[in-house]
Amino acid sequence: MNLTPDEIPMLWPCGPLAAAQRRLSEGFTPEMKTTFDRWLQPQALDLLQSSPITCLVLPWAAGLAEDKDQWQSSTALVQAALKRGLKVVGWIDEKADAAAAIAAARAAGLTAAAAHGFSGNAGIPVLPWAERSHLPWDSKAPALVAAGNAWPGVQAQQGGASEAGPTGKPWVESNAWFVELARLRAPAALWLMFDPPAGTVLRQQSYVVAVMDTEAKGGRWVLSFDDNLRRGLVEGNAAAAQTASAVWHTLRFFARHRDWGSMQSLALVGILSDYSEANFELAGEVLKLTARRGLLTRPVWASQAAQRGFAGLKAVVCYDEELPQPALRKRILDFVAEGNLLIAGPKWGQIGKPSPSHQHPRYNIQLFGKGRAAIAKENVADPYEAAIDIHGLFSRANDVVRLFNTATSGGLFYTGTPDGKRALLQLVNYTAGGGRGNAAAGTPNVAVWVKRNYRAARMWTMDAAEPAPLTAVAADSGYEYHIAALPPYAAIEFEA
Amino acid sequence: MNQPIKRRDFLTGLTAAGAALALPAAGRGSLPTAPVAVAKCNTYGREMVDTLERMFDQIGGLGRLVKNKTVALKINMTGDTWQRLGFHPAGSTHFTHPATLGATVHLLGKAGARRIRILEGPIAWGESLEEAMYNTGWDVSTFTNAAPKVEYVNTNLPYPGKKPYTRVEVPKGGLLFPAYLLNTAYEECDVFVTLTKVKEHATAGITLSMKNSFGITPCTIYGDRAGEDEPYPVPYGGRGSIIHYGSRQPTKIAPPEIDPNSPRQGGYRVPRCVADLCAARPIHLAILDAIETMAGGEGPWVRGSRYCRPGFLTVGTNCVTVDAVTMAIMGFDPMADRGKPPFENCDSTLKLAEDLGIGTRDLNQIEVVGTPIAEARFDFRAVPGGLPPRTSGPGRPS
Repeated sequence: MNLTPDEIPMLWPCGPLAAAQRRLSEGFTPEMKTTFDRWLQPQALDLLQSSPITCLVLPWAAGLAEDKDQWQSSTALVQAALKRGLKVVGWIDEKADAAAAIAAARAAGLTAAAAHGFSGNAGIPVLPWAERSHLPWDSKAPALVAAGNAWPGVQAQQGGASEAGPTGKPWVESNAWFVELARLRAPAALWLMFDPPAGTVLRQQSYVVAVMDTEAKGGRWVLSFDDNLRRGLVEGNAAAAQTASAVWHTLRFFARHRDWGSMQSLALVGILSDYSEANFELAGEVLKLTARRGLLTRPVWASQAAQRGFAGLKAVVCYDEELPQPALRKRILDFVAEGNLLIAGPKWGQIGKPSPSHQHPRYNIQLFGKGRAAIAKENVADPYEAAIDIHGLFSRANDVVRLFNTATSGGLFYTGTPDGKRALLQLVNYTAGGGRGNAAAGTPNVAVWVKRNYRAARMWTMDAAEPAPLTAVAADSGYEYHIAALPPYAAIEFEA
Repeated sequence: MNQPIKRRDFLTGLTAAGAALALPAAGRGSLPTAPVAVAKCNTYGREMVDTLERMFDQIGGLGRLVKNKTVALKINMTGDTWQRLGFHPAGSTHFTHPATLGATVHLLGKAGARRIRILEGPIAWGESLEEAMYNTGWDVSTFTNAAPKVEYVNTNLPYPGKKPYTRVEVPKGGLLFPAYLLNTAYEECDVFVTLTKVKEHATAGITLSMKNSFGITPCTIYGDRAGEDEPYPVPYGGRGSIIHYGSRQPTKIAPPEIDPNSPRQGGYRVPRCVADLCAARPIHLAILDAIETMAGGEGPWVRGSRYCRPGFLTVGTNCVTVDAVTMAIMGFDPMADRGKPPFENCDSTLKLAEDLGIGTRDLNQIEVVGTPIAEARFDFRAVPGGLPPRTSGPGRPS
């Protein structure tokens, strides 16, 4: 069996290697070892009977003495999994002897291995895994596996509060920006590795949000349950089973809507970068923090923009350390001259006439052709401040979507088909279930404003088999859709 | 009562707001007064523009007040820009309505205002006022194009230039603070106009023209995370800790409160702060909109608040007289003091303003022009769906 782009992977921590790895971190208990042992038993696979999981990711090698024990003791589990039609991927840590571990995986009949920085003919597929900025984008492997991701959702604040005050927005972590970035660049499927935060008792909704955040833009989370949940599942705990069931349900929902992943962003602001190691952090943070502000942005790879240009955009942000190559620079200037906006670092210097009517404390505003350029007076180092400036320079006057009675906090994904006939607005409420809101009841009286006049709209939710039609109300030079109770996730499909 | 007042009376009213404090407080009869125009109005369309213009004429006309002057126009955007009461746009419930703002700017410009500055400090908003307006769903260009020179200042931020804040003294020493530091835009004006919604208020009983001035205090100095020694560069949160509850003092560049042993209750502190501010930064023209609004509180966060359509406007040059007449239309007794509606849990801002000599709340001393109070009456407490008035506990800080 070969891996396909549609696999739904799950981390399956088990056996002596998982126990040895867990022992290296704080809080290891004998019960944890028992749980790892129980997950090594073939009958543990019964936990997946009603799940959409198609692929297990087993700890396979970590450069520890337990590596070989793991290979031997997992034989029955691997065989049972393969017999059930599951794929099995052996996870090889950076410190392990990758060649030996891959050979062992092949010998054990694993479907594939995932190894850090490995390339070459291994006899079985090897999924390359790496930190996000180091992924081998041009790999021919069926999936790229990115490490270094955040646990999505509302982050605890000082004093343990999980939300900001009544007038502030919650601090939300998300990997959605990276999923979009990667999918624009790599032909392979994208798997994200991230684990539940250590020492935290997670609610069911936290897992659901983690799935939504990854799947909304077409990524796959290598599902990872925390110690308590794994223990609860093998012990038959009803609450644990309910959590797993909610996760399966969410995964199935997105599996039914795989076509949504092929839609393209309708954001008007592009964050242009070569996304090299030197520029990755700033450009990535700008993508994340603009999204958190509710500003729709999309990544633009410099390597692609030189060929494709900036169709659909009204503004381009370019903070890369070095100026773009001449051909791309010309494209950018042409884009500005046509009436658009460039927001860029100080190396761009003077490209137009100073604007007499625009003042900004951190940017020189210049007129160039029919457009404007906002050139930073000093190097841009603070992505938080940059996100605020981008939002203000571009202006909410150009909004194409607004939400009322709910803070966007990043969970706003607006995409469409290239022909413009269909669009999709996905709303992920990261605060649902994590704070004061009642996740089940939904957020009351949410108004979704869109600038475009669509012929029809219907809303998909997790709990309804069919979408519900929505009626537009003309408002504020656009159209509003009124949702009596917005669930933690909703997707509004528009037809033009 | 429907006769337009004489221009001389109008000017008397105008100067009263600023000059009243020099008058001896020898009883209510000696307090400044000025006519209040009342009109029924059911829509925010052309009818509203014509009505407002007629009302301005009824109190003597705008030209004498604003011609060739810089006019500061304080609007009301309380709470977050994305918050709504149900599906109602904020302008229909708890914000200044964009149509009344556009109409006011238009009429001020038509009357010859040299420059119109729209002022507001949207809560926890560190960007421009225009961006806050866009986020509310407003088209800023409609205001910008409504008069020759329109500017916008987020007064929760330091005013650009060498003098970010200006100290304004409270005549007679003040009730809560002896002086306040305000964004300099509140000083750099010849005429100060306030444009707000008619609402109840969970902490102060009512939100009328005077209460709108609560929002002129910059949150960089009076806000929850204001710096101890220096103003914070951007505002965070509301004015709960410093003004509502007095749990800390403002940034040191502002004077501390007069009596640190005074009650730490919003119902005591907020009305005093409002009266102080109206004395220190006098209001020259008050415009109140109750075409559409909400009953039961000042924003959607107040339990039991609900949308309503009272269908009236009030206008006047003395903020106390305008608020008194408006209270009467709302079904309240403007002479009410603490313990009586709408001041079940707070002191009366109107009474405190009287004590400071700003104006009278005695309806017998106030000339009402246009629609009589009884004809415009709309009982806010009778709007279905409300909750019994709170008997204790603070409202949400704004």
